[in-house]
Amino acid sequence: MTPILSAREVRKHFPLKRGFLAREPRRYVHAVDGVNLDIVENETLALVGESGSGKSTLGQLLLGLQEPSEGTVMWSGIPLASLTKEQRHQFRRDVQVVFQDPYGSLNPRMTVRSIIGRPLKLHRLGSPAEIDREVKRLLELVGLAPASAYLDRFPHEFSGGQRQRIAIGRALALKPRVIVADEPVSALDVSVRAQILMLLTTLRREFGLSMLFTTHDLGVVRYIADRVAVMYLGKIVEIAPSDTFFRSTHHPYSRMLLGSVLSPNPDAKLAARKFGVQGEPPSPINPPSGCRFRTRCPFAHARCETEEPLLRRIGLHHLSACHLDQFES
Amino acid sequence: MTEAPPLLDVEDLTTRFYTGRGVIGAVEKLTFHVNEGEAIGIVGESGSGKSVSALSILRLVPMPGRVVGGRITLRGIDLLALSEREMREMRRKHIAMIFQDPSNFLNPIMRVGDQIGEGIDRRELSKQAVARQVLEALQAVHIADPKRAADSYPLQLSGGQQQRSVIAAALVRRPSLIIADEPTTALDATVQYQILSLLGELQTAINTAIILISHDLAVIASVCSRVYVMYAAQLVESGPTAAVYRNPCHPYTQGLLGSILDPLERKEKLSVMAGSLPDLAAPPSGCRFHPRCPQAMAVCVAREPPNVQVSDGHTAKCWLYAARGDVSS
Amino acid sequence: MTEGAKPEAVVAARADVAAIRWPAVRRVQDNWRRFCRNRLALVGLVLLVATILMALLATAVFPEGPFKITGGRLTAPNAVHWLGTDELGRDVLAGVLYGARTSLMVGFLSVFMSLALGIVVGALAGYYGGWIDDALMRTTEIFQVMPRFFLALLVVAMFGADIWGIIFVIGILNWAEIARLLRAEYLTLRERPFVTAARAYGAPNFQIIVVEILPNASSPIIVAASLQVASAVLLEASLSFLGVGDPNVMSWGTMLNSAQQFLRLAWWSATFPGLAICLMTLGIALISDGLNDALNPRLKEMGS
Repeated sequence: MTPILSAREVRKHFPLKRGFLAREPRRYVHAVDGVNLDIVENETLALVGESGSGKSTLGQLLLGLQEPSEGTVMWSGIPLASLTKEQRHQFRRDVQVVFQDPYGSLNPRMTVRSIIGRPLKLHRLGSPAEIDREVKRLLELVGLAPASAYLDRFPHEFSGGQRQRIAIGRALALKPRVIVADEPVSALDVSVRAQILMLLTTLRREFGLSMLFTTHDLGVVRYIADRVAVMYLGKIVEIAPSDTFFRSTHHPYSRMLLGSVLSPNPDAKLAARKFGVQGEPPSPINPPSGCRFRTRCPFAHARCETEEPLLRRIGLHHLSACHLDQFES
Repeated sequence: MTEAPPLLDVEDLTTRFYTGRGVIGAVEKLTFHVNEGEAIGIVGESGSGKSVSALSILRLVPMPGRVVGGRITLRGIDLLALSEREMREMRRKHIAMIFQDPSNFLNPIMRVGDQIGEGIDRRELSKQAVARQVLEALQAVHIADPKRAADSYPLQLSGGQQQRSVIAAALVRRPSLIIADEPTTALDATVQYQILSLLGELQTAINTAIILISHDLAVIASVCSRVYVMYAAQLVESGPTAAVYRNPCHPYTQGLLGSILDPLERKEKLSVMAGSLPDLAAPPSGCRFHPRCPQAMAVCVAREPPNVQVSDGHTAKCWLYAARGDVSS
Repeated sequence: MTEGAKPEAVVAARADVAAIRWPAVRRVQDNWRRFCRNRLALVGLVLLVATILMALLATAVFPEGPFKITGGRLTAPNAVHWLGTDELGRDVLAGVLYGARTSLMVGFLSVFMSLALGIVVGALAGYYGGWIDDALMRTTEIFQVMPRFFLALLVVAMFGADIWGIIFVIGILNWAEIARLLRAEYLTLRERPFVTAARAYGAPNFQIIVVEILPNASSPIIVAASLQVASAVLLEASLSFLGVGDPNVMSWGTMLNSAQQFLRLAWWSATFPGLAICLMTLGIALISDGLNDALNPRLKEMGS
């Protein structure tokens, strides 16, 4: 079964600006540095990482909004770079996006009717009357009913949660197979977050969508994901089905992430943690040699400095990029 | 039992914004206190008034806002009665504020070390002594390579390091009270964990009181011994953190706790709070939470509920508990 | 319960105070209301409307044109000639009314031209960046460093004084400012998520530039363009004053030029055209200020 989207050895480097007469070699930000990833039918894949992990850039590469410096991104098995014009149109309908910022992802000068209707109009999916009906249907689908109360208003008249619903409505308009959701609930209030997450899971199940869900919040991941991929400094360091990931977390970075989760449970005091959370993500310009996580890893040893660990199978469907098999706590 | 008088005593604080469109009641009759060396938390979402309360204490409410009622006493001194000059002295010596975005506090064209040094009383000290104190402060906040950090400009440091520098700048002044408004919201999870540990550590080390403001109950629970829950400019629940967590009384608090996603346990069903935050220019009648409350009764629409003492030190502003317990206001 | 359409009042820390959401109001109505509340802006509007009326009335009141000699030379304002006559016996009022036509024509047409050029260049440079941006910006800079007045003088001197030529020259001189402003707006706006979203659903670049971004970038150029109208009027008046304006067209500047020598004898021949220039440019400047305030509301002005 061909995955809907896949990345093969994808790398994205951003050159750093130098002065006009600079003589040192050009430096690059290695945002994504060798990623292999598949997005298959009917699945939510959570992409977890902190700042500098490259998760947002990877999302943009999969959406075809940026070109990889090396490697290929494929849609239904066809490399994006070699799509015909017709195929490109199809691709743009098949893969949609929802952004983190509910205040910036809607054009402030366009009515809700235009915002959701424009993709339909662009792809010529019906007469103006039909498009209008479809926009109303989409609004009600995302919980904004009655649609007539929302159609001719502007984004600034709505709350963050409502705007995010509008953005989801827009994403669904073209009936995609994949939605790339880049931290879609991080900017929302806690009480609204749950609403939007529930909306996304309901819609996903109803339409058999796949989702690539970028986030740094492991609680959200637990609720929403079927598979989890953890990124660190441009590479995937662990990937596993959700239950496996949380039950048998392997990679030291994944463990550190889990270890830094805060709980309102007063019995889970900060001091009583078994795993030390330390250090900061280093700069993606000059990543450490060997294993990139070694500067923060409590289990680092000699081999970690010289040899970069590759993703290897450590369990059923469970890959981890670490030299060690087991860890003493 | 005679208790020591509180360090900060806020009574019926009311702050309003007078805008061309109407009056927005940002904080309504807020009453709370902080004891010496104690860490308390104020939790609420957008529009709850938590940040405006902090600004009100510091008398830094931006135009067109004004503190219109209530008393704020710090060690017996009425802060609202001070002149601007005296208030500045207060801010310099006794109260420190840490914001969400450290770049709001740090001057981008001044070295970090110099900025920290500004808070030190230099009259008796030599330049070397000041520099030493700066380094000590940076060491106390566990910043990597304190000497280099002191010589750097803020933009050369990462978000986490900037926030540590801001904390260091607050430390050198040896304040009696630190107000931290969403200090870790903009930071990565692993860094957030470390900063919160740091705050807890410092609180014990120099016996500073902390007011931690956040929308995240988990963040508050990790540092604070008591919590105040705000909704729509009012205080709806307060009490020891453990008590509020184990036995949340106000339906809003219950909803908040219910929407927390814990990665360590799989949640099948998400408890979702319906509705959205009210318009502070025209808040709902009676209890402001009634439009969203699953347990709303007729009286909730008609009359504002009293603050009821549910158990020792634990109060809730809710009609559900008014029948029993002490009605304290 | 479903979510009502009530906006949140986001009143948090200092930075967030600026994001207070208002009840449902159309943006244009909102701006118009703000504009109207500004009394000075309304004064400006009145002045501009007065100028337009003058221009419209010109042919109606003086169908023979402003160059017809209808009275004695340098007669003071009287019942027949409300504003008096100039040194050739032409009615000053006729001159003022026809001069209004000229000024309006020069002001608005030159600005249309500078907008047309400026928007195209600015949008392309700001949206595409890279070498397109570099090339276009170098071109813009060439036009920006030219000394405006002397260039206008030069062109007119070389190619003859023709009103269309003058309009053209003024347009050429002004477009660079518009291009710069618009480019700056595009540089910021193209990074916004709503633009990325449009690219993601396959919107072609042209549509993004015109439909998505341009409406959001319009505020600064509206203000700049309105100021340019005023400066165009002044530039044309100055050229005419120096005698290099179009002799076939009545202009306030030309009137001032002729009136120079008779200032002490016949104050009316200079005062009225001079007043007209002042009031028109003042009106435009006030409108421009009003637009600026309406389009960029500042919070402190909302206090009561």
